[in-house]
Amino acid sequence: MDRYILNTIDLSKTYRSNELVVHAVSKVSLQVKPGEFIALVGPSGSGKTTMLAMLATLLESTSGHIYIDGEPFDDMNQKQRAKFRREKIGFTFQDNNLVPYLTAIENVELMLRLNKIYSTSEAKRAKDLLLRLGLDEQINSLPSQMSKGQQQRVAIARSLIHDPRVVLADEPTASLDTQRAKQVVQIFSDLIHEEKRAGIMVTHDLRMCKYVDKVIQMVDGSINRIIDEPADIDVLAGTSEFDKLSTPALL
Amino acid sequence: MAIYLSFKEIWRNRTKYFLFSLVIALISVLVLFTAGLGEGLATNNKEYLEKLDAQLLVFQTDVSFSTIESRLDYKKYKRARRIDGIADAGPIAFSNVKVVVKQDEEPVDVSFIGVEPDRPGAPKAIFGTDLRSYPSKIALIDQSTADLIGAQVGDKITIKSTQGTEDKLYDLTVTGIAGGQRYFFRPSIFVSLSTWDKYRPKADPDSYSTQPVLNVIAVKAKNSTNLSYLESAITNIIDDVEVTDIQTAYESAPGYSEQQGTLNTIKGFTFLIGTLVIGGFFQIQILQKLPQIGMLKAIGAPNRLVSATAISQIVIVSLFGVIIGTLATFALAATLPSNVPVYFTTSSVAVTIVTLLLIGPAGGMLSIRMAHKVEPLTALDM
Repeated sequence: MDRYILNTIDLSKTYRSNELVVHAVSKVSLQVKPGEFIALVGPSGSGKTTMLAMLATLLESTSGHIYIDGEPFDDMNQKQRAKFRREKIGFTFQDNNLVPYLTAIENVELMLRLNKIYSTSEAKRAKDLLLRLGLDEQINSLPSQMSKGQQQRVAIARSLIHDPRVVLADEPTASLDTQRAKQVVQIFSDLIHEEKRAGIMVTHDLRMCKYVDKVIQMVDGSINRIIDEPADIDVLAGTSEFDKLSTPALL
Repeated sequence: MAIYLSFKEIWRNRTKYFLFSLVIALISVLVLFTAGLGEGLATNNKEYLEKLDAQLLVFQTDVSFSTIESRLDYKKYKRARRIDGIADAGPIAFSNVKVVVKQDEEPVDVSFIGVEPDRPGAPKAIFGTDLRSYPSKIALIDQSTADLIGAQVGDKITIKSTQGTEDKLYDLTVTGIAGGQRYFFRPSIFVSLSTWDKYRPKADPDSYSTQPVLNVIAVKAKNSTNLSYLESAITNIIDDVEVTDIQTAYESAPGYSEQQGTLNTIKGFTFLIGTLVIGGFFQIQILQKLPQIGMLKAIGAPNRLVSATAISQIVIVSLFGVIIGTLATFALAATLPSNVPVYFTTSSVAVTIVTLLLIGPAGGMLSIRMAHKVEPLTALDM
């Protein structure tokens, strides 16, 4: 079990409203090894965001188990979950990623401060990471002074600076043009591979899947298909095979 | 960490927060000014009585402790001095006269107070000498009279008093100046009891005495810890008198409680409005920041950090606003004409400032609670 950073066993989430029962995620078992970057794809309502929210400890599962580094967090209370999140998980969101009144470097340092590991050497590491992400001139810029792509790169730096075991990204390229989106995911992928973290990205954009190690397609809350070699996935663009990955009606 | 985030947010949005601090400053000015006005009006009303070197005042019965209505025979004062437990007693008689300043200027209304030198009721001079019984045409004036008419020790002042149906002018030599001793909204002039009875306005100019009818008797107790016993002793020994402490006496002055009640109501409402304004502002702030708070929680910020950040922000902005407001109030008060009674005492200013600083967090409690309850998933629309 420990050879996986992230391991879920029969993970389910069910919503009940009066007589209506919705199985948002149904018995999903998923393993992510160190240095492995996975894309969760599927149409809206397929359960991928619910899955991500459970992996981020933001949402409690109805049944099943989640282990990160072999540590279960089924029985953690809210306070313990918050601590677990800030120490073990790095998160990039679709929007509202950055604190608007903090500069790029301050946003990255925020994770160091939250984890009480801020020091001069750590601050230098944060700066180096931003430099590596090509943000030399934006280090002291506020989010409002940066483009969406630059903001996403700052968010990536923030999600990695505190050495999390798991890095999660919810549609990180949704508001970016194709060129910027590819650039952001490429950097993300490189950093996950280099630092041997487990990375999971939820995306609608199948063109971004060429940078991941595995694509998991979810349909109706379950894993429908796993593509282990997605490097040439954009070759499928425009074909029915490509459409099948994101459109369940065609399956 | 909370202070760090608060300062960063305030600094990066300094124009917005500065403007809101100005709103708090205006509320502070209003509250401090009302408090100063209340203190000033109260002081003008009670300053003389409050500074009496006595613990009790003896009044005629059934006059509701009104110094104007109370009438006491001089013999009662003599009798009071012999009561066991009384260290000293002094007669006090009140009246009003005008002081002629210059030929072409309006005379100044003053309280004309008759006392017995060196007895309770006779104020101590801070310049010149204390009041004496002789010669008769001398007066001790209080600082506010001196300031108002520009008189100094050794100067002659002229009082105008109605005798019968005619206005008469009398010259008095200022032998001493006491500290502020205003009474019933007027500056004061103190003379011996016999001089007072001779020069006070009266229907019969020839009717005066060295032992006139008094208004009240100021009583200094030997043991100030058991005043109720002394009160009973006085009322048992002297007929038709009531005894009360100094505070009750000045609070019983006509209009005093109504005036202070009105000002306290204004102050209370201003505090309430301040609480609502500050509460409303920070609630809107929190509503605007819901996604940001959700994101902070999602990356692991604990609830107490979110709450502490919100509280420290309220405290910083309130503190800044109150400091500006306090300075502005003092600057404004310094420009006011001297006849506007705005006084600031350390205690009243301190209490007002502390209350103003407390209403910020009190008003912001709802917004803090709101921040506390933000669900990251909902706030991030996941």
